[in-house]
Parts: sequence; structure tokens; C-alpha cells
Amino acid sequence: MISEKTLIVNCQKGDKKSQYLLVKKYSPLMMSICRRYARDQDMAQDILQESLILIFKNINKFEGKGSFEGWIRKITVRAALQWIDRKWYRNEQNLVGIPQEQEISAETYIDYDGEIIMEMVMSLPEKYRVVFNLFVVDEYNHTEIAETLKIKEATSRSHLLRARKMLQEKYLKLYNKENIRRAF
Amino acid sequence: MKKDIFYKWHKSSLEKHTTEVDVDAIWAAIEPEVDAINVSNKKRRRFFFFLFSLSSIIVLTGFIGLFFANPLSTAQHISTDNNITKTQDKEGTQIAETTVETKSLDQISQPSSIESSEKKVDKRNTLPPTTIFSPSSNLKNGDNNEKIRRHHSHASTSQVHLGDESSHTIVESIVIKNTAQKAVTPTIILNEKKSSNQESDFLEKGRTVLPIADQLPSAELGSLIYDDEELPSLKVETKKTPRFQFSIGAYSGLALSNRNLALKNNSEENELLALRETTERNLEVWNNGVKAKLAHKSGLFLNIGLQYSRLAENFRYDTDHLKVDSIANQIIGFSNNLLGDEVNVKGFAPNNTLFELEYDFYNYHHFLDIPVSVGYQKQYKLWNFGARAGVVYNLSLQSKGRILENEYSAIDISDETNSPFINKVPLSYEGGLNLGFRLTKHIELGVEAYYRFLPNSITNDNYSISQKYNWTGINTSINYLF
Repeated sequence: MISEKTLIVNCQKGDKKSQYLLVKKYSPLMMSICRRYARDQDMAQDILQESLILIFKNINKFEGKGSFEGWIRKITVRAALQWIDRKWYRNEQNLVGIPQEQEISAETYIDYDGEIIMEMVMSLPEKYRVVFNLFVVDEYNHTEIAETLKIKEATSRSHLLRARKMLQEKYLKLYNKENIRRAF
Repeated sequence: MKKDIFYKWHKSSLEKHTTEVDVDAIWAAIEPEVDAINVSNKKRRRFFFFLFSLSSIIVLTGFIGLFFANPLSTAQHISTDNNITKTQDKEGTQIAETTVETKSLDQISQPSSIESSEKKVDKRNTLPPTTIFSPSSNLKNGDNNEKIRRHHSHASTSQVHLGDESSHTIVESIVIKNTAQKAVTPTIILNEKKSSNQESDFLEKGRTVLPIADQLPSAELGSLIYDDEELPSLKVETKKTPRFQFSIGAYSGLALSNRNLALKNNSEENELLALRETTERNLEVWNNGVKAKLAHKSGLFLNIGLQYSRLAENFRYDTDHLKVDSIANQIIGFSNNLLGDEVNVKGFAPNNTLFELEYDFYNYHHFLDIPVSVGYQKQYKLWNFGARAGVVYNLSLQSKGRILENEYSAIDISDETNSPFINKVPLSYEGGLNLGFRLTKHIELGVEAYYRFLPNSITNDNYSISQKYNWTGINTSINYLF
């Protein structure tokens, strides 16, 4: 079994076998990231390819500081953001009538199937999904999201709340109403 | 916003989530591009390896040239191996009286010993065998060997005198003695002291020698007659080349720059990076300088100078931006009260501002440097071919112009407090291939194709984007050789 360090070094040297192994090893993870941001499966696939090419282009710049997986995640997220048309953000007005948050008890969450959660997130409208992904999974704060997407911080916050509300509604539809209320 | 359990739960679930992909299909789709990337990376690596190898070869050649090339004159060279004395004539010109003592006839008659001796002389760039022993300029080395053997097989001691000119060193006399053989035979003096430049003088001197040859035993006469036919061109001149040559020069040229913008570690200013990449474009690099060059006769040279380079870029940005805002306590409407009076309704009035941004600036980075390089040059008649490699020590960098700070504003890079650029660049590297043409004895015109590489970013640590350059260009120069 080839170590991650050797794999990176070989890829930096342009060894095709190692490059293939890298694709094989990280594609599933990257595809999940792409799916979270993409509108559909085709777009996710395009983002994945673009991300892989970006990784091979820039792999010489990876100096071994920090996690390689983290570096790959960052590149994939950036590639995904580049794909998303940001024009609609510019005209986006602050949302009115933001739904009130439901009270969520800190109960243990059911171990939902990851794919179901993924489907739920993917079903969100793009503008909410992107903000949700950036904030919740990729740990951007609202200032960074606002800078990245060229929107106001308030807009970012409202998108996040919308996304949350929508997800809760989707969970409600999917599961027994009582169970969900208990869960969140 | 503090992340609650809802978000944490989603994060942990989604972070771990993976999706099955058809790796082979993905690989097939990206393989051509990956190949192209590999080829481009290989080319880059090869280029740097070539530069490194070239520099190493030049430096090594220089060391070899300095430490192993014998700087002694022709006469001194022979003296090292063959017991030679050097004298000065009355006029102060250098006359080398060379005595080549051969150890035995057997040794002399062995071609290998003579050939090896010749090789030594030839290797050290001293007077070649043809110039010492062969009267004919077009006589080949093989003929020389033959002639030397003939000399020694018939006469145990012989003398060959070569003339000296005031401006040139000429071997005045070569006395070849066979110390091993005791039988004394007449000394043959071909040329007594000085010779003039005229061919007729040599012919004349050749004639004066003949009677001496006539006195030899008939058995030895054959070889002497053979020598006599070639006597007229015995005079050989060797130019006295100085050990070092110093020159100064001025140069100017243009280059095309290549800029590499990249995000620094942990930076996420990809938007700014994209903006800068789309709003700025590279223009030319104007290069000027003066240099001093010290060249060793081995071909190695050292260059040092003062150089000014102006790197130009164009920044062009044209966009509209609508800023949506509101002003509090403004009249936003009217209504009628119960009495029918019209009253103002106050509130937040929209205040939208449309910013039209239009920038068109030429940005300049002014480099003041001290380039130091070593190289090797080869002279061919009036032409001079050379290669050099070295480092460039930056004295200062001044940037002028504007670049985007964000989507809505630009910063003045001339202002040091705001400028993201440093004012002194770390060491950079330069190499070039040059061609020179000697116009007169002291003036040389040159042209050089060069490449300069700045491995470090010219932006400061606080700036999120690194900015590196390299450029390739052509310089023309005029040099004065002392």
C-alpha cells in the first residue's frame, strides 16, 4: 500500500500510475463535495474533473504543510464556486419574512443515512444550498461567504436560515411529524 | 453565528459522505489534460535543470581554466619539460633560447616519446610543434615528427635559431642536443640572431647557412638538404595575449515578461485573484545597464554591473456597481390627517448609488539591480560567442500605478503604506547567450538573449496573493575593450 506522502511526491513527479491512484482514492470524497454544490449530477461531474485538473496543476505547490485531504477539499470547493453563476447574488435583496426558527431540543439525533441527508441538501435551491454548504460543512463564516459570493452578510445569514427552515420542512415531510419535532 | 447541534450533525454526516464514482470514466476524461500538465511540468523541470547544468558547467570550466591552465609563455612551457633558458635581448624584447635536451637517440627515434611531448605542448596552447620545427606553415604534425626524427638520427647536436620581433615574442634559438651520444658533430646554425619580416631575408639567411651544411659528412647531407628546402619559413611569430582583458560597456533591451499570480498558503482571496488576473495584463520589460567585464584568456569571464529594469503592466477595469442603501428619518410619503391636512410620513428612504468604475492605468515596477555573472566565451576571428549565468542582487523596487483592492475599488501602489509590493526583492537569477562583433581594436558590439527568473514574490507577507515574474529578452550592447 503506497503511503499518502509517496503518492503526492510521485504525482509531483508526473507519475501517471500515482495520479490514477490519487483520482481513485479521492474522487468519492470530491464527488460528494461537488454534488453538494452542483445543480445536477452532470454539473457535479464537470466540477469534479475541473477540480482534479486543478489539483494536478497545482500539486507542486503543496509543500506537505497541513492535511492533503483538506487541501483537496479547498480546491474542490473553489472549483465548485467558480462554476456557480454568481450574477443572481448581486440582485438579491434581503429576504423579508424570514421564518422563525423552530425550537430544537438537544436530543440525540438519529443516525440518518448520509445519502438521505445529501439528497436533502441537494434539493435546496442553489443560493441557499451554497451558503448552507459553505457555512455548515466547509466552515466559512458569514463575512467570508459574503466576500466570496459578493453578497451582503445579512443576505448570507438569511439564506442560511432559509436553508435550515427548508431542511426542517423536508425532514418533516419525510418522517413522522412527531418524530421530527422530537429530533429538532 | 454559533453552530448548534443541527449544523454539527449535518457537517459530520456530510463530511464523511462519499459518492461512488466511475474512476475509469473520470480518468479517461481528464487523462489528456493530465498528460499536457505532465509535459508542461517536465519542460519546466528540464529548463531549470538545463539552467543549473549550464551554470555548473560554466563555473567548473572556470575553475579548471583558472587552476590548471598554465599561464607561462611558450618558451617557459618548453622549459618546464626540456631544460630551457630564457634571455632578454638588448632592446628588451623577449628572446627565448630553448635547449631541448634529448636523452638518447633511441628515445628520440621512438615516435611515441616525441608524440607525447608534442601533445603536452599542444594541450597547453603553447607554440605548436609546427611553429618550432616545421618551416612550412602548411606542414602537418605528422611531418613534423618525421622531421624531428631525421634531425636526431643524423646529427647528435643541432641548433635552430628563430628571430625575435620588437612587438612579438619569437623563439630565437632552439638547440637540440643529444647528451647520450658522445660523438661530436658539427652544430648547424640556421639563423644566427635576428630576422626581419621580409621573406627575402629568410631566403638570404637560408643561403648563408648552406655552406655550413656542406661541411658535414656526406651521409648526413641528405637530411640537411631536406631541411634546407623548408628553411625560408622558419620564422614564426606568436602573438602575446594578455592574461586578462578588461572591458566596460552599456546595454539596453526589451523583454517579454511572464507573471505568475497565486494565492498564498491559507489565503482564500480567490475572487481577488480572479479579478486581478482578468484586469491586468503584462507588457514589456525595458532593460538598461552598464557593466564591467573581466575576461581571462582561458575564456572565462566575470561580469558585474548596475542595471535598471522597468516592468510595465496595464490595469483596465470597467464596471458598474449599484450600492443599495437607505437614509433614516426621511419623508417617504404623505397622508391626510383627520382634519384633512397633509402630513409627512417619515421613514427610511432608499438611497441607491450607482458607481461607475473605470480604470485604465499603466503600472510600472522599477527594479534597480546589481547583476553578477560568470561565463565562458569563445573567440572566432572578430566574433565572440559566450554564455553566462549569475545572480541579480536587487537594490530597490519601486512600484507605481493602481491595482484592484476588491471588486469596487482600486489601491494606489505608489503609496508605500497601502502598496502590497515590497521595496526590495530577494535574490533573482539571470542567464544569457551572447554574440559579439569586434568593430575596431577597442570597440565591440554585442547582442544577448537573456532570461531572468525571480523565484520570490514581490508582494509583502500581508498580501494574500503572491506575484512572481520571469522574463526573456534581448539586449544590445556596446563595449570598450582596454
